[in-house]
Parts: sequence; C-alpha cells; structure tokens
Amino acid sequence: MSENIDLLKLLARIDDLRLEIREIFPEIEDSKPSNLMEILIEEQIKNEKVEKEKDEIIQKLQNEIQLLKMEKIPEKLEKIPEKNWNCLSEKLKLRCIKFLDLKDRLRLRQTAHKERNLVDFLQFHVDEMLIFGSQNFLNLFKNGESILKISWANSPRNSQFFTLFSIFKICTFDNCILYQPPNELDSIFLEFSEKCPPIRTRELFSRGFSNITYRMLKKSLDFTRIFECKLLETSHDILEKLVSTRYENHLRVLNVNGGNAECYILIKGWITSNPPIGSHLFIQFNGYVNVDKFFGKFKKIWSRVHGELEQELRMPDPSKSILIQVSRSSTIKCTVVET
Amino acid sequence: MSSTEQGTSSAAPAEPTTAPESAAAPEVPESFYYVHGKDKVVHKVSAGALQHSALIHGMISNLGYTEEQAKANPFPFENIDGDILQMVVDWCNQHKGKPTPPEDTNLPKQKEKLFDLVLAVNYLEIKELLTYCCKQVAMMVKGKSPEEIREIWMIPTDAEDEAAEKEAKKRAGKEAAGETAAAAGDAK
Repeated sequence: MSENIDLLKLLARIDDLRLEIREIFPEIEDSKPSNLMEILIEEQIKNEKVEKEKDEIIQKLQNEIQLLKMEKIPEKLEKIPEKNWNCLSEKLKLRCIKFLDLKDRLRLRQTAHKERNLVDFLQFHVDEMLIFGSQNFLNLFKNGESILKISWANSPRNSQFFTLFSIFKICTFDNCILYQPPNELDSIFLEFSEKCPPIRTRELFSRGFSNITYRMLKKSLDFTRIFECKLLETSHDILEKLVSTRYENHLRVLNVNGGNAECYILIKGWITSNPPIGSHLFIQFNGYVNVDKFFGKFKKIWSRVHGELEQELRMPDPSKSILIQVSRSSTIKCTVVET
Repeated sequence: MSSTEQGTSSAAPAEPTTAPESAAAPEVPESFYYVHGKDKVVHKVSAGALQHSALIHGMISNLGYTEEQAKANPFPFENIDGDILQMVVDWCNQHKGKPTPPEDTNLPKQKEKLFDLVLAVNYLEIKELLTYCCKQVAMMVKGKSPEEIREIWMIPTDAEDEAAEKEAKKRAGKEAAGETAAAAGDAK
C-alpha cells in the first residue's frame, strides 16, 4: 500500500511539473502523457483491480466457509415436496394394497420395511395351498383358480426360503396340503419347518407324518389337522409321535392301517392332551375294528354305556368325558362332552 | 367464519365453474351449495351431488343453511388444490343420484394428481371415489418389479429412511439445544 501512495505522490509531482513547464513555455502544445506516465497509471489501475479481485475472492471464500459451517440440509428436504405414496396415511396405503394380488404384494413386501409391515398386516386369504414334495413345487389356489405356482428347481436357495417364508407370513388358508410324503420334500422345507412362521389355516392335511409335519404343527395355530397315513407309516412309533404333538382341538386321521391297538394309541394320547369340550377326534381305518375288543381296552375308564356302538369314557378332568361312536364302516368318532 | 368470508370476497368475481345456469332456475326445488379450494374459485354444487361427500353432507345437515346463506359462505377447503376440487365436483355432479359404475375411466392418470385426488377425496370422505382412486393407485404397480414399484411410488429404501430419521433427530437435538440456550439467556 505504501508503494502505491509513493507512486501517487510521484504522479502528482509530475503533474505539477508539467503545469509549471506549460506556464514557462506556453507555445508548447499539450502533448499526450508520456509513456512512463501511461505505464504508471496502468500499473496503478491494475494494482487496484488485483486488490479488488483479491478482496472479492476472500469474501467468496469466507461465504463458502460460512455455508460449509452451516448445517447441511438433506437433499430430500431441499426438493419441492411432491405428492406420492409416502404422503398417504397408513390407512389409505392399506386401502390401496387391498387391490393388489398376491404376486404384487410379495413384490411390494420387498421394497421397504414399512411396506413389508403393511403387507403382513393385511392378510391375503387363499383357499388352498398344495405343497408337492416329490415334484418340489408349491401351488396356491383362490376360488379354484391357481394364482401362484412356484417351482424350486432352478431358483437360488435364499430366494426359495424368502418366498416360502413370505407366503406363510402374509397368507391365511382354508386348507394347507402337504400332498406328497413330507420326507420327500426338498431340503428347503426341512430348514423352513424349523423357522416357519405361524400357519394360519383352518385345515392342515398331510399325506403321511414326518419330522417336517411335526415341526410345522408346532408352529401352527389352532386348526383341524388331517393326516392320511400311508400303509408303511402306520407303525406304533409314528402314531405315538403323532399323538405326542399338541392336539388341542380337532384331529382327523385317515387311512390308518391297523385295528384296535392303533386306535387305542391314538385315543389314549388324545385323552392325555386333555382336549377342551367340543373337540373331535376322527379315525378312519383301512382294516376291521373289533368293537368288543376295542371297548374292552377302555373298560377301566368307562363312565356310561349308551349302546353297543356308543360309550362314554371318563377323562382326567372330572367335568369332561369322551363320547365314542364306532360305525360299521370302520370309523371312530370321539367327542369331548360335559359330564 | 372469517376465512369463509375472506374466500367469498376474493372469489366474488369468479363465475361458478360447474352446474349449468338452467340448474339454478327457481322452479328447480334442489338447493345449491358453494365450495372453494386453495385457488378461491367458487364451485356451485347441488345438494344431491354433495351427498357423495360424508363430510360436506354432515356440514350441510348440521348448519341448516338457506340458499342465500350458502352463497354468502362457501365451504372453504384450503388444503385442496383448485383443479383437484374441480375434478371432485365434476365427479359428484356426474354421479349425482346414479348408481356408481364398477370402473371409472375419468380418473387422472398422472400419479401426482392421483395422489392429490386420493388425499382430497379421503378428506372429503367420498367413499366410492376413494375406492376407485385407491384401485387406480394399486394398478400403477401391477406386475412391476420391487425396484420399479419403489421408483413409481417413490418409496425410500431402508437406508434412505434411516438417514432421513438420523437427520431429523440431529435437527431436533440441535433445535432443543438452541431453545435451552435461549431460555438460559433469557433467565440471565
């Protein structure tokens, strides 16, 4: 700055000198400023410009630092709010989801946690679910029409598990049918049966009984269980395992190969589980049931004899008893009644 | 009713955009009411058409307005855009006293307007129109992949959601700190 002031002083001095010269020699025309003068003035202007630019740059930098110091506003908030799905209330979202079919709901479920919870909350009712073990595919039906068919042949394992889990999570069923012997099911079901969410079905039908059905039953809610036992599976071990599962209400066991002994195992196990009043146990035999022998096994707990084919048995709970009706077509129906 | 009066005064030059002139003829026994949205444009709607909206129907039955009073005090719906209110009024006029069809092809296809319409219809409690609109919203993503659904409905990913929540928490924390500091300053 001091240099500039000196220069200005010098210029002023030069101007004074020029005026003096003109006074002494008035005939001399006013010429253009000397080159030195021009250079000096230009330099002065340049210096001023540079100074100004410097100040401006400093100001700009200071402003930028100030902005950086300030809190960063998220990009989303900077955007002008546009009406979209997120503007809708949960009630309205559910209203919209109601119009989506199962496939679309499964896809929407994958978008975000909030949407997943909404889809799970709004249960999708399916009439029937068929799980084919030997063919490794699953088929869901609504109003008699197949709405979702999944084959496990080529899809990655994680995807299989996720799809199966999602279906059980969002669907309620009238019937859940394990159509093929569960032992033959793909290993995915073996893993799935351990981590299976609650099955919301009115009836679970299983052609056979295995560890998979046993595990799935444990995860299940209250429904009627139907087991169609194959010849080889109707061993005493299988039947004991079958009755050791949680039977609170209704059970139907079909195609039992055997007679009095098998029937005794099933009824004894059922009585031990202390089913509530109104519960049913229905057993259908392939073979012949000797009615006298059959009732003879329960002689110790007889409470009332209604007829040749109808008797009442005592239960551990004195307020309840079991009415057993045997038909000639090899079926036994047990009902829990009030004493 | 000050807001209503303001609305009326500002909307005074505006002509009723719906309902033909003949409909307002004195021999027609039907009564008319007036509504306006954010743009203050007043729409004339018959009581029959307004019956679709549970909200307005409830307001009418509770207030017991005469035609003159209704004209002087249009129902203000400041949270509804003018064009959206126009759509709703048109729909109500079209379906006045008629059984509602299973499909409505007159609904807007642009997603922004559709969401606006859903919100407006929900506010006005027009059940049938809300059902149509919700169905239309659902149809937007029919057969689409999860990524496409996310894009169409602008659903934020969980990561985005978390980031936004964190930001909101930070802001709330800073605001609270600022308030306490200000309070402490005042106390001094």
